[in-house]
Amino acid sequence: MNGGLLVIAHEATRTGSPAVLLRLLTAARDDLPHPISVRLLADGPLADDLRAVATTPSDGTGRPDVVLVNSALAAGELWRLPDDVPAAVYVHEQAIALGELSDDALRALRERAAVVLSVSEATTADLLALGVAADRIRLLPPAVHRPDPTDAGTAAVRRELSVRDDQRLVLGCGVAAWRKGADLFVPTCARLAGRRELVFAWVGQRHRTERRRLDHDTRAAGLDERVRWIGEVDDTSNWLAAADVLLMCSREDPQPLVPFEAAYCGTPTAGFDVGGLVTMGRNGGAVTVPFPDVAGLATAAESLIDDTALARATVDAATALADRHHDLTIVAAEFAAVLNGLAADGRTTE
Amino acid sequence: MTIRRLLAVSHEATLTGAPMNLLHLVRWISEETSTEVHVLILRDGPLRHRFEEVAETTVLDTSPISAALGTVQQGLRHLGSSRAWKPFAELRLRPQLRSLSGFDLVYLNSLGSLSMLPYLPPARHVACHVHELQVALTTQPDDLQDLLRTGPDVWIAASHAVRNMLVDETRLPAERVLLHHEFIDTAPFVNHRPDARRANRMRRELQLHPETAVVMGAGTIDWRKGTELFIQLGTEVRRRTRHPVRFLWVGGDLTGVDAQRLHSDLTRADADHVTFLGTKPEPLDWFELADVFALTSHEDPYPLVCLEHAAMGHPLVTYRNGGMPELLEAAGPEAALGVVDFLDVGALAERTIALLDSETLYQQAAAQLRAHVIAEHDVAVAAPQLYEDLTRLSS
Repeated sequence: MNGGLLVIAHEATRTGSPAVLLRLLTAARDDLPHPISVRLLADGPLADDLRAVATTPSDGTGRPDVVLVNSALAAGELWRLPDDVPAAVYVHEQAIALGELSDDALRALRERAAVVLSVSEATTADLLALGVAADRIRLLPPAVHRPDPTDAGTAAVRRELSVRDDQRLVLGCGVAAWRKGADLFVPTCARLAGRRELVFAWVGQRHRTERRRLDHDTRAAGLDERVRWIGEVDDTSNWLAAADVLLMCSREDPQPLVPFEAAYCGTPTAGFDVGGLVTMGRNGGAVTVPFPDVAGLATAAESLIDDTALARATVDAATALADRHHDLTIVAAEFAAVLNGLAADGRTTE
Repeated sequence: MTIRRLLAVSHEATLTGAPMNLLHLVRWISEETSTEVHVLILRDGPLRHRFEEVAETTVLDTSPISAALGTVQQGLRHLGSSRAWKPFAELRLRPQLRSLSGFDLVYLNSLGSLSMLPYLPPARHVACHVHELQVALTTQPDDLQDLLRTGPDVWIAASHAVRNMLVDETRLPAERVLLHHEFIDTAPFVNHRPDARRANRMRRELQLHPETAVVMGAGTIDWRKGTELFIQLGTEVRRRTRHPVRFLWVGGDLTGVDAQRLHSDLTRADADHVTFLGTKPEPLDWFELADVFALTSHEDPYPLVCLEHAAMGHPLVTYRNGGMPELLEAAGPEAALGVVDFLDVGALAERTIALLDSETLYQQAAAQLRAHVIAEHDVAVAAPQLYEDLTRLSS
């Protein structure tokens, strides 16, 4: 391709950063530098949708006006491009994930990217600690998808889980791995298991090793009849709407979107006071407790289940935060402005 | 009928539970019976010299060629090859194992040593001592799991938990799965005399106030040992008591990915009262600092470190999983109070604090555990029982 925008994405899974990218590209498509080409470093369920945004195929030749790399994990790809092409990297990671970056990726963040877009203040702090210059970091909170649950879909979820009307669903959501704290979901459920009206489920992919470990813990805690590991689903909307409380057990989550999506479905969130949940907790958009107080997290979940006024207030605060900081129209306009600014620089250099 | 010649196979020679247990057994057999013992070590390590002191010992892959063949074999297995690795295994193992013939009994210590069985010259009988539980077993390659079912004539289970798994889940014949709890040489632990000067120096090094109680954990740093659950316990205890309590973990590599995650958990939890000390050449000196030993493993058949602390007079707390509840419940009612439901960190913290707060409870639990370990888990008591069962098999 010659001119325009080249988008490089590290993967196309149905997880936070690829989903945010797809949302932004779709919303801002007409306002972005053209032509647009998309290069995926790994496939996934969102691959077709991401490629569909492109107006020209990515053939690896030519010189774009600007490059957007989605997520720090792919930042090393910038070294394969001409030095004078301006580039932005959209960083969705934090702490440990940033600490595990390859040397190439780290160097690209420090030396090659003209703009480093950061999803949250927590990520910005970690980028500064890694030596990325403050004047190149721009805060771009991810846009939140407004879920579209249906009564029938929600009822189907509760039926699938055998949740009666007088029962309550406690839900976890995300790739069930260390970073998302799926291991902490089990002891939290164990703490709540004395309440027979509670049903527990986790929606999200589980890789083999993690699956063995979680199944072991679930069984050893005597919860194999109570905790359901659902696996990946096409759309979480009905699951979030069917839940009575969302448990966020993440150790590290710079700007989780699921609590906002859950709030749009009317479901409040309880979680650990880490990453993006710190701001949510401070503003009443989630009930948070210090990490790794699983007993406290269980109590927080109970308070949201038992106190409908608290649950309502938490949901309202979360949706207000989402409207203010994560509205797709506002975020997409900022996104396009950054890339158009860089493209203009690129054309001047050329 | 006696066992004339016995080949003991150890998957490694680290200072960890299964090899240590085997060392105790081999030493006892060599010293107390007429059986000639030969040890085969699959991966060299610091325990090798101690095996060499008590039995003729062969270490696998000491030549560069066999080591290279081993690397290729392992590499192909990791790549998912189901057959391509086998010729390399033949080339590597047959020449090295050819001389190990004429044994009455091959004693495969742990699942990791099972892989040698197809390449060893035939022996009259084969026993496999299983020190593993579900996750460790199911992560073995399918062919090894098959070999576990078909290779041995008899299986030794390291605890009831292991035996239940082998009989109920692996479907091994119950009459040939023998229960022999792990054992240690209790003497060094029972007779260990605290060295006040050394203890003071170590406490100074760790900035431990004389009034600060110490809860200890120990082992490798990985999921199985539940190091993150140890941090959870530390933060829960801190929330529940105003008395100073320090959490010390002895052992483990502090440089890997697991350690990196551990440190991030420590930082996130602001747990500056929890310290991971890494591997120590003289762990016993560090064990001396403990007031209570906490086992937070996700999965642990019957860890020797608990027997060692019990022999030293330290009460134990543990989740109800794996084999350790068997020890506490057999030891006595006060010792058994240290068992709580799996993952109930609040209850584990409560029992830990109760032991630290009540001198009576502390002394009763400690005395029960110490007496039980000396009576049932000392090598002088347990090894003859195991040997007798092995002799019966050979006859």
